[in-house]
Amino acid sequence: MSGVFRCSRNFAQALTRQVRWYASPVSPAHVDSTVDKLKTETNRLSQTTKKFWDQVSFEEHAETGKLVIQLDKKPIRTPLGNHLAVEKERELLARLLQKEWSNISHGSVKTHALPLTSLISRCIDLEAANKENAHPDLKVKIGGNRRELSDSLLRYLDTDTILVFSPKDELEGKLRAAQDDMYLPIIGSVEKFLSQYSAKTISLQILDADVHGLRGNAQQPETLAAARKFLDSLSAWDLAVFEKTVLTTKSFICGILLLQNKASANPEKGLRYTMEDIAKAATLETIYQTERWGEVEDTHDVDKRDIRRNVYAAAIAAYKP
Amino acid sequence: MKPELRTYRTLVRAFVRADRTARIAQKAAERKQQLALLTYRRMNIAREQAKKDLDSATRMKLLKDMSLLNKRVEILKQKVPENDKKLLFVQDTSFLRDQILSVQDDRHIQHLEDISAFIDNQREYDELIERYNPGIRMSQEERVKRTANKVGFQMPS
Repeated sequence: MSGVFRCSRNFAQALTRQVRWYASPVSPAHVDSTVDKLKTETNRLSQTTKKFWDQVSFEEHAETGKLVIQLDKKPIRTPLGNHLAVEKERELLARLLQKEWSNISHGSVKTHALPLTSLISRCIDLEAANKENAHPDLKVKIGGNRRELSDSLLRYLDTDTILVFSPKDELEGKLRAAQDDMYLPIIGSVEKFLSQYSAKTISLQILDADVHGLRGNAQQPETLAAARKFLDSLSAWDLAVFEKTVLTTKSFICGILLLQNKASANPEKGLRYTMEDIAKAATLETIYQTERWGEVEDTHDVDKRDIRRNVYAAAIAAYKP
Repeated sequence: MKPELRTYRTLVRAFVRADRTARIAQKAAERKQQLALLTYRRMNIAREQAKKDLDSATRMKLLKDMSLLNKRVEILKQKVPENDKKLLFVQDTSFLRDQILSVQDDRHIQHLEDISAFIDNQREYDELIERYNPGIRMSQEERVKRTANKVGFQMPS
């Protein structure tokens, strides 16, 4: 048996991910278990993991004018039961979603094979749950309460990847030099960016292993207030994208960078970065450690791809024509 | 080369590579279906041939049909889906072309580059997961069959 069912770490992860549709790598907080019981295509796929359709297409909805992705001419629904649909201007996104479903060829389907669908579903559901006349239950079901969501996202700012610096003598100082080189300009620009949302000038509390040793990190109350204001200024769609980025990169700042570069036509000065830069910033330590000690199969290589596919998926979802 | 053209090329490449596995699987499934159909027709002819009260003309015709079917089965069996030249092309490039032609600014080009990067990374992720978890794509049927084989049993066919 063991040969056939060999469960490596990632496979086990993939299995737990299957249960919760939104997943990979961390599912958003407070998602209610009843959502999994709604009879929607996305849930059906994650429960049976069997391909149950022949044709994937998309069509303009007569009332909303949105492009609805369909399986055998029936609209795909998100975990909350909304149509998986995008605006007409985003035909390319609709094509990509269609492709994601039509490229499933084999008998058993793993939901981690559909990162774009899961992200867009989350965007759509969060948007629907936060509409003015939406039923309050919806918010509870998908953890869509913006205050709670902000609370959990703000915790990432305390121990942000970009704000933690390694000791100078580690790896002959190579890692620290690279961190100084990459992180310091980002921190400066983000401080300036967050200062827009506050009366005071914001300064981010960094965690330097040489100075502070091993301890936790916490931001000033005014920093958190400014960051919360920034979160409140986001649309529900952008917030879902932001959440995905933060959960993937373990960095609040990377979320800001991604939205600045993709959701707005003119990113703030000093915040212009490519998605590859963001992925690199989030994994800088891994890059230098694997350079020294070597890559571990089934771990570093998989993680590298996982982070990038998620960051790029977030970039695609954030882009507005 | 113009930046738009380079983006177009990377996009097309990403699509071709990403679609390959799914298209091979689809081709294989189609082939299996066709083979099953041909086998069924061969069986029908064999049943006809087994009848005793046949005149020689019909008998000749049945023989001819049979050899024709046999030939088709042979041809079909020789076809390897992996070697199909069609796999080297995107089925429908028109929408990609439209996208490239409607490019207005660098931001749009960057978006298209993001898409090809996403597709590439997603494909490589899938390939890695499959490499480290052999059998992850196996169907339940196949899995049961192999498990039974391990202890020397055969599943009833």
